[in-house]
Amino acid sequence: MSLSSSRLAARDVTLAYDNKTVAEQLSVTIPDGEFTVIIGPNACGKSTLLKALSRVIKPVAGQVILDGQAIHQLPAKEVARQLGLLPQNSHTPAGITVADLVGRGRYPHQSLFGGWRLEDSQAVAEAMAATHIDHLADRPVEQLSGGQRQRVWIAMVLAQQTPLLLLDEPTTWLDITHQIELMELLRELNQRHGRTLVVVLHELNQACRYASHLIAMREGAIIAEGRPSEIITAELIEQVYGLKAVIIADPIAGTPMIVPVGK
Amino acid sequence: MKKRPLIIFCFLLLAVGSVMLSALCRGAIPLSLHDLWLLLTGNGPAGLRLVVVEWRLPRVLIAVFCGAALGISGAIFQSILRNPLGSPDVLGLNAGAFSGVLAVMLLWPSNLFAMTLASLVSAALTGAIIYLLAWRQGITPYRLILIGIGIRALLMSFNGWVMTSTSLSTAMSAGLWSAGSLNGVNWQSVNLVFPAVVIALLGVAMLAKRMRLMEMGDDLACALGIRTERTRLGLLFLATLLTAVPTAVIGPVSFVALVAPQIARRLANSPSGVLWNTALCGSLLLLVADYLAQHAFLPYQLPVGVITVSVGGIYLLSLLVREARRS
Amino acid sequence: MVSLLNGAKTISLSESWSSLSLWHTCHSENCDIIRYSRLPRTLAGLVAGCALGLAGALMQSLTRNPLADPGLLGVNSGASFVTVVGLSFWGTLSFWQSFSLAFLGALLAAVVVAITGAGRGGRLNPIRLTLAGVSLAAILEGLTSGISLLNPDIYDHLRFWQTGSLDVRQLTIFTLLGPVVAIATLCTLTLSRSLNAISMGEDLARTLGTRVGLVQLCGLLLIALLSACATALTGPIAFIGLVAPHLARGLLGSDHRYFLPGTVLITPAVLLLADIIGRSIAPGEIRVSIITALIGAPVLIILVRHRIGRGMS
Repeated sequence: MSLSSSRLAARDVTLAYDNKTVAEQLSVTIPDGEFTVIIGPNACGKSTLLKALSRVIKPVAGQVILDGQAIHQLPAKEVARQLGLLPQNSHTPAGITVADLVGRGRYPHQSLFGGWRLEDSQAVAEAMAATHIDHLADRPVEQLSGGQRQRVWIAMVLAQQTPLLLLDEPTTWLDITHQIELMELLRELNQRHGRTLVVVLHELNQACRYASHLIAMREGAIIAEGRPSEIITAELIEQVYGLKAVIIADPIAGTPMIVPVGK
Repeated sequence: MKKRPLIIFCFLLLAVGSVMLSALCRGAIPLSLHDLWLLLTGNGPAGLRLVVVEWRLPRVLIAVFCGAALGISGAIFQSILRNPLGSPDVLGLNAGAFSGVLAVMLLWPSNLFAMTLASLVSAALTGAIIYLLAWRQGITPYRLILIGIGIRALLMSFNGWVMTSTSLSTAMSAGLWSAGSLNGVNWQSVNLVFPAVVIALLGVAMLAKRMRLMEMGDDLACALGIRTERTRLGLLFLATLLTAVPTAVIGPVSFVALVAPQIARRLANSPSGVLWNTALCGSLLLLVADYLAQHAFLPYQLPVGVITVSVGGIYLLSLLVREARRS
Repeated sequence: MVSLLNGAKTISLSESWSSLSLWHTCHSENCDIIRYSRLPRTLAGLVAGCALGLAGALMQSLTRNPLADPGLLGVNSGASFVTVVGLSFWGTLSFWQSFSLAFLGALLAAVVVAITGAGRGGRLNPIRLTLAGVSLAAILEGLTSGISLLNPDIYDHLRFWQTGSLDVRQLTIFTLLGPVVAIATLCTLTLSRSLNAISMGEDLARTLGTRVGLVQLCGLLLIALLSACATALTGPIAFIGLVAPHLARGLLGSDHRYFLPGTVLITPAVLLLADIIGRSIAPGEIRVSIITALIGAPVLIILVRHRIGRGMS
């Protein structure tokens, strides 16, 4: 892996949830301009790490650094202009339309008394076009299907127009077509627009296919990180997931593809 | 503001205005609009001017401001508790106010000023206690509700004990207070209510956008740059104030806080501009309730709380029946 | 037992026993106290406690809401309202009259709420049920307030009744209530297995063969009946229907077949204990509802502060 710059990093963080320690002395550096995917079994701490990196959770020890400063010292809105997070569970306010919900992502760019500006409308329009929901603009979000609703949330984070984008399992609820669509969209954001992405994914093969930087976690520690082609081996899969598998090359992309052995 | 909420806003504004005018004109001494105009601009017999300017006008103004304050308070609680049943009453703020009033009634009977002060202080104190008890590295809506229920039960048991231990006359005076009434409201009350409510509403206007965003979940709000705990504290403080002040002046008028936000949201069918409409709805509800309480059951003058509770309950029930039939 | 012995005047154990066994022959003052004040009080505690505890447990299981309380069905306001109406028509009421009125009001209110909450097809919606209970209670409370504030005598009666107490002085009522509550208890216990299934989710219960709609209907009727009995007898008693089932569940686990009978035993014990405390710590009586709230609320608060995180946030 070439030495790239990094705006976002965690240094020796200890993370805890309800008096239960999830990770201790964890250090991770998020390379700029890369499509980073975090994988690992359930309860390994992936979501917790993502939340710590995005300032939602405060580490019990250690620091999260953004642009050389401790992230908790920076003003909240400033951080929100650089870093966008899509958490796993969000609550849809009753009666809100798609355009309104996407528009809420513009909050970090708006001043206390500022109203709606042209750039806000443009950002919303671009975000909705990218996620193919522009035809749904005036529909109430509650009436949409699970997949459509997820795309609305993603559009909201896109409208925030942040150079760094963190997404916690964004492909749940999506059927396979929309999953691939989303991953392609994320790749485009990364390669064409240069945005740094950190995505927690469940689907191992999708992670290998789209990530340019992979972080494998288990029980609050990083087992391996690097390019998928470099670090994915049968031994690693067994170490991280306890699963026996065979690694072959994906016939389309050439990236590693994990085929479980089964009984 | 979107189109439909704007229309509703104008409609509500008109409604509030017309009820205000009819309330000013109607009564033991009926007036025409022309007479009213004369009196308000300083002409006309002094006796009539007393009736309108000293009695009716403050009463109408209190109804408008207190109704708006209660409506907004309810909207804030419903947003923070993420529950359509959220209201200051559910958390025990009204029970706390009543406890203060009961304590004062036992110690300094017939001291109206002390009662007002006690109600204000004890409602605020109740709010503070609930917040502190619910704090454990932050506040979650569920914890707030649970602690609120517990505190409310404690306070109601205290109230029950006092009510069954004192004389009947004291108990009845307390009972009358707790039903809520705009009788005896004068310009002093307006001077107390107006600045407090206006300042609090300004505060709410500043925090409104953040409140809306927090409804989507704490994590997302935090990621969008909102300091969630601080905002929540500010909102709860304002909501407590917006309940404590009206309760101190007119007694606990339940249900306006619960029902006004629900009506406003259903009328407009969209979350934009809801707070303005909620305020107007609250004013309208209280104005109409007071009007009915005064004029609809002659020769009896009912406490306004009785009307709001019955009307509010009927409205909710009809909503539910409609919902039940639809599902 | 302790409830029987305790009181303003001390009466020895043997005297109490003889007053009970030699029912018709004993006429001393102590016998009267035992018979007409302590015994009914104890029986009231047993009956009301059993009824309230079961109603609370049923409510919590059916709505899958650990915060459910039988009072949510509006029984308290129903009973108050009909009582107040009765008082305004007939002046004073005998014990039987006021009991029947209260019972009728409570039952009607509960049934109305249950029907509204159940909706079409009998699918129980807990939120709708709660909202229906709250709104009906509000309407009835408003009307009750309106009527009672215009008439001091009615208000006087109301303010005492609304703070529940075990101060029952009639024995004959138990010849009616005893069997009714006993039968209702038996019916509830037979629902245990179905309730176990429902607690895992309605759809899952259906696949396991439970007739969910029927169980919900029966459950609601039983809740209405039990809470009406209790409320008509003692007036609204705070918190006991909410907290006692949790106690039973904590001691005996979540299997309805075990903790329902446990509730039947624990709730009256707690209620009688609260009553004893109320009688001991002050001259005269502190009504039991006050004590239950004084104990129950801090317990709830402590629980919330320390057990949070276990699926409650």
